[in-house]
Amino acid sequence: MRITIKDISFDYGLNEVLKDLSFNIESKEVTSIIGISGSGKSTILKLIAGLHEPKFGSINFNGQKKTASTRFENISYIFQNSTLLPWKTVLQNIEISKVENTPLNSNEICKLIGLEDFMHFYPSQLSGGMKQRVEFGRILGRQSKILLMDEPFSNLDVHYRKYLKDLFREIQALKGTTTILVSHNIDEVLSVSRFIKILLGRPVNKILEFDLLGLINKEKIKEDITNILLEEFKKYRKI
Amino acid sequence: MGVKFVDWLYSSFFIDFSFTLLRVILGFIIALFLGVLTGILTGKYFFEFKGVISGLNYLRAITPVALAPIFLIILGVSEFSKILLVSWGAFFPIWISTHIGIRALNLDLVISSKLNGLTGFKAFTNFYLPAAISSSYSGMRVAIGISYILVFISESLGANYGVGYRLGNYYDTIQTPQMMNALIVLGIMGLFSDKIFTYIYNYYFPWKNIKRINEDNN
Repeated sequence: MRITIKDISFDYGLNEVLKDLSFNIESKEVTSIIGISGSGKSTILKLIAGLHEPKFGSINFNGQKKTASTRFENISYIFQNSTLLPWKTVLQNIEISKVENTPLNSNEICKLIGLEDFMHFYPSQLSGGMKQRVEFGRILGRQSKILLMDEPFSNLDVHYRKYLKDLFREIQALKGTTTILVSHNIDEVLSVSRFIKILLGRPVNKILEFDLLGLINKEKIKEDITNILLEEFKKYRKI
Repeated sequence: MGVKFVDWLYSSFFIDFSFTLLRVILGFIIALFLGVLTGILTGKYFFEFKGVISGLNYLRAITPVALAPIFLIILGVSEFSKILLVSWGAFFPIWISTHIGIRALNLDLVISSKLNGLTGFKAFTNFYLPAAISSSYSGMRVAIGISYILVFISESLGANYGVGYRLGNYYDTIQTPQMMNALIVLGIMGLFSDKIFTYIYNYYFPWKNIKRINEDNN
């Protein structure tokens, strides 16, 4: 599902975050959005999910405008912090968000995320990394056309970060979900994304885009992105 | 005191005990049901209707002890008036804790539940109801204490049986040892009601204090 964002502006009261911003998210590809802290990365995800409405401009899905409720059916969202239901066990949390006709059942999903011994545990009994794995498990049980991820690998230890990134790549290759990833970690972004979009300006009014297809020298692009972010930080650190 | 207690035990203790317990249980269950339901409604759906919440807060501010004689005049010396008074007093701590709990729900959690397909009745049973029960736990325990205060008030104002009635009766006739016995029984009933409630709550809803449950059972 191709997402077209056209001339959107958004503010939190006096804090103007986005101004006349336009860009596209390509269908069935992973697009990462990066920018300095407070630049509005998570806001963009929430606008796409229909959790905020833009003040001006429009967001279209395959050329069509969708209401918030129809967007909910097509979107999965991994938040920065755990959003597991505290009163449901791991298995129940996966079960409740699972849709019919998925190739994996809830038990298999638990095994796949390495939590088969913890499936009857409550979220309060799990570590931050385990909770994040359950969040991934919930995604596996859904048939969403769009996946929005806000720092999904940040709470994981090195082992599971690699494991889940590999798992994510496999799922992505299989399902071809239109995915938008927000992250601070440039290595992470480079390892899973096809497109990178860097938010520029305060309020954000410009986007710098990179297509990583066929790119061999990732170190060079990493250096470029780091320098761009550093410049942005210097420019707007007083704000 | 011990001899007087044995006398009471062989005369009307079990009837008094049963009547008081039944009045508290029924009053508390009604308050629990209405308090949680109203808390969800005011927290989720009616929070913009300030009049509804102000109205409930106004009623909450009227001390239920002062309402006891009015309930008695309007409804008579009936079981209904006693149970209603207990429900009235127990309702407000449950309602206010549920209301605040629902209002304070993490926004990401609410959004995520919607994105995970929890809407309509499914959202009510799987999201709002467990969230309400979770947040009103303290209110429920406060309500148990209030229930015992109000059952004593209602029984001492007009009843034929009940620990509160017996206590009021002993007070009027200045029978201090018997009065102390009734007072101790009332305290033990309150304490065990709280313990049993906590046990039932933790058994059916273990998610909230799961680590604490493993450590102790308070």
